[in-house]
Amino acid sequence: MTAVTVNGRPEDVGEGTTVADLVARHRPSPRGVAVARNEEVVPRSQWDTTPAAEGDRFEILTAAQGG
Amino acid sequence: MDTPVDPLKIADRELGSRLVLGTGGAPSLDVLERAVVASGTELVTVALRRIDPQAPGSVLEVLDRLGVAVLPNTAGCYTATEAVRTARLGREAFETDWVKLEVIGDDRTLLPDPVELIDAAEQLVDDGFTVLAYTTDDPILARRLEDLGCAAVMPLGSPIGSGMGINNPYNIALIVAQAAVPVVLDAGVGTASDAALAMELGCDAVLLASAVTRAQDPVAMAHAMRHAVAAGHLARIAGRIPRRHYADASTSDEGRPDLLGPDPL
Repeated sequence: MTAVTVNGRPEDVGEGTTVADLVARHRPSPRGVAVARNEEVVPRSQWDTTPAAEGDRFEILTAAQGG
Repeated sequence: MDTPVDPLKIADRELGSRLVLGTGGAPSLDVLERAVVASGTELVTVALRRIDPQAPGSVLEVLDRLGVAVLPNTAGCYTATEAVRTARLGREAFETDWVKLEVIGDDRTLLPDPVELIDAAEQLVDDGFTVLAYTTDDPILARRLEDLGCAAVMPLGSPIGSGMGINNPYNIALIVAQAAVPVVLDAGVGTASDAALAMELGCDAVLLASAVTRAQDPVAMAHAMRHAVAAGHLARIAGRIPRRHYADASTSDEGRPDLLGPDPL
């Protein structure tokens, strides 16, 4: 297992888990979602090929009401 | 009568409405949806926050359904670093390179931090963003933001959510007089007359959120704001009469009858 942080909470994910897998686990539709890995944006085109590494910090974000 | 409003042009986009609506503070997505429709806006701001699996519906679904454009903001950022990262995440999430750049100096006033703002604006313009910069009402700062390539400058009328209206109309007029990019009055609007005043001062558009979303009847206030912005813009184009200290009769004295009669003495 690989220990990562997702939106501030610790999570254990299987070896070889990608960003795309992480997003799918938290959100049925990837529309309007953005992901930061260790504070840097992961472009959608790289979700399938970016694996979660031990200690990674992920932020999975989407639209919220705001001015 | 239909009020003809010439379109607003920001960067390469034409907008039929001069009202930009923020979505923060709406009591429900249903009220928000009806307020967006009533406002007539074509551009709506959203924030970027952690996903909430329990959230019922999404603000993005509402905006997609209404066909309005999304303007991601960088609300809650205190440094250029955070703001630039948030803008890049917004570009990824919403597939737009437009951003309402907001870099706040403290949480009590929510006033912009000019130093961080300039830094973030430079980085984002270099990165190809269309930057609409939320700024103080300082004409020099507004000029610097324009010079470094911002697509619009958005001076505050008064602090975010304060509803105090336009505290320094003189500064807003100075910013308008010098700007070659659109000026959007952003923050502080409390009621319709504030929005009309912004437009009468020559602003190209008004961005407001709380004034609508936290009104007792948000949908009715959205309607009021639509008319206020259109009325203020038309009045600006029409050209107001100068202020003067004494009266200036609109009715001529020419041909005035003598109805006093003969002097009794």
